[in-house]
Amino acid sequence: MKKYKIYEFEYFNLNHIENKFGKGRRYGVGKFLSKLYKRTIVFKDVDEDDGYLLNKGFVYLSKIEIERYLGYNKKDGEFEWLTIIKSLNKSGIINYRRNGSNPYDFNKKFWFFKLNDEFFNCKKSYVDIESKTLNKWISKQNNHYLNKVSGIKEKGIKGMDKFLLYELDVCIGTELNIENLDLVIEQRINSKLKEYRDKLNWDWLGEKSKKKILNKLFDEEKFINRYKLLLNQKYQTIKSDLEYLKDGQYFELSSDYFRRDNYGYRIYNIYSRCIREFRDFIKIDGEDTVEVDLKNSMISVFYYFIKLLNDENKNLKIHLIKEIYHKLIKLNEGEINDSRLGLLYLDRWEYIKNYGDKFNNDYYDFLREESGLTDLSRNSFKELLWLILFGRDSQLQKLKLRENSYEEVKHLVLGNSRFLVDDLRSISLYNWNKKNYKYYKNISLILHTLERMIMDLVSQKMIENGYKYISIFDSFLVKKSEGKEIQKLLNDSVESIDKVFTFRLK
Amino acid sequence: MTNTTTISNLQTEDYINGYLQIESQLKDKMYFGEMNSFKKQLQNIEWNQLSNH
Repeated sequence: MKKYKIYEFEYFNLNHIENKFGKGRRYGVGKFLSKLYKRTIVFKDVDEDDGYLLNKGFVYLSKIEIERYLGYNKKDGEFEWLTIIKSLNKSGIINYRRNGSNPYDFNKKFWFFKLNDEFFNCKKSYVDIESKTLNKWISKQNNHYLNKVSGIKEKGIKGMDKFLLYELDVCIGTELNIENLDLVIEQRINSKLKEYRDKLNWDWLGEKSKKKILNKLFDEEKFINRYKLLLNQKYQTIKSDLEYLKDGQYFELSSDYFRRDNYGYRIYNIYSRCIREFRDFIKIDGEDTVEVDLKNSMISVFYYFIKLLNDENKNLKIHLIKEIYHKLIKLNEGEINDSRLGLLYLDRWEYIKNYGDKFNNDYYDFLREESGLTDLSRNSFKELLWLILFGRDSQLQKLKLRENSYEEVKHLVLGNSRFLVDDLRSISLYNWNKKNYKYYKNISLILHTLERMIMDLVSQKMIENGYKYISIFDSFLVKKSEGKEIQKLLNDSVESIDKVFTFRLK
Repeated sequence: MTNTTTISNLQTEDYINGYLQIESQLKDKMYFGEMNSFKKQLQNIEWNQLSNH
């Protein structure tokens, strides 16, 4: 019988577990904590304390696993797993939160856990699970996992379609070996510090955000050490997950990497959350890789979307566009004119298509000049535009650029297209994503859906032609030797959708 | 990968119209069509080994 491994933490080791919960729970609770640790590392971000992330440091674990690891029998009128969770929570070892799509049924809510910080700072070792029944159960899960999830037509985590299976298959044949890891991590930290310093100069960035950055820079050494540790842990986690993947131990992976999200069905794989500096070292079938990306992706897709919306043949024929078109008309009490539908926004693109060379064919450079905000850096301008399109209302109301209010900045950057942006943020697309639906996310929801359509289309072309790829949202990692021919194939494909789309080789 | 739904010959219009319908046949076929033969064409996943356990 194969013995699976878990992390044992000095902070709360297997003997501590045994003393607290008895011999029978030694490896179950150990496995529970080990899985939470690995999953947390995958999602952990050095900026997590700054963000409004739904599950700040919390990670999901399925009820099936919770019950198996912590015990599904009832003792003194309470399930063993619940007693253990409560006890671990009371001792400050874990924290938990219930979340999910059914606000009326507490029992159907999902479980999310957060480990005490000590788990990430203490010494840990990799040890065998010395429990026959637990090893047998894990082995069974591993053997059934892929057959169970592949081909299931279910949105989100549980189902795997052909594109996901293809990427999983490609990822099995990949390697990630970084000889001088310390140097690569140092480069990443330096570019992060540079990014923070640049942000301090962004006029429109709020005082609160700047203060958070300053806090990090104030104790730079502490920040560097914290980030260094996290990046090392991320590298180790991805390395061990790659081994599990190659060994067919899919259930043992830290996370359900291969899935589509509920936000436009974007694809995730084992490398989606891997930092760019690590990605440079990925090899497919032993070959170096290059990145082919969709240039100015989101903003090009926005243009394409407006074009569909303004095209009388399409806005009534294509289900998705028709739905939005009708909702916009209803919002405007039955009448909508070209200007309100963002037609002027299209004219700008005609201009950039004709005079693009002047701006390196870069939309952000073009719009920055047109808005007269040339003193903002490209990154600052891009983030400002993204905030206007995708930001929460509360963030937007606070936005200020020198003496200009949010309404004035929006006018400056979007011109008459601002009406369309406002309208798109006001219609309901609840039926598109019932989980955690928010009106302000409408534009990103629409753009992600269209972007994924384009990425699926070109992915299909690559599969048909036998090319291997790993998708990273709006780009693909491909074999270096095939980079140019793939770029040509993708450009030939997207050109027939619209000339605004271009894939470039990075 | 000959068994995957070939879209090379489809007009872009057909593709976009088909794909953007929420439950279109094209999308369904692209995502899940002929799954078993597709699985066999993959190079690294050992399906037999998985199901034999």
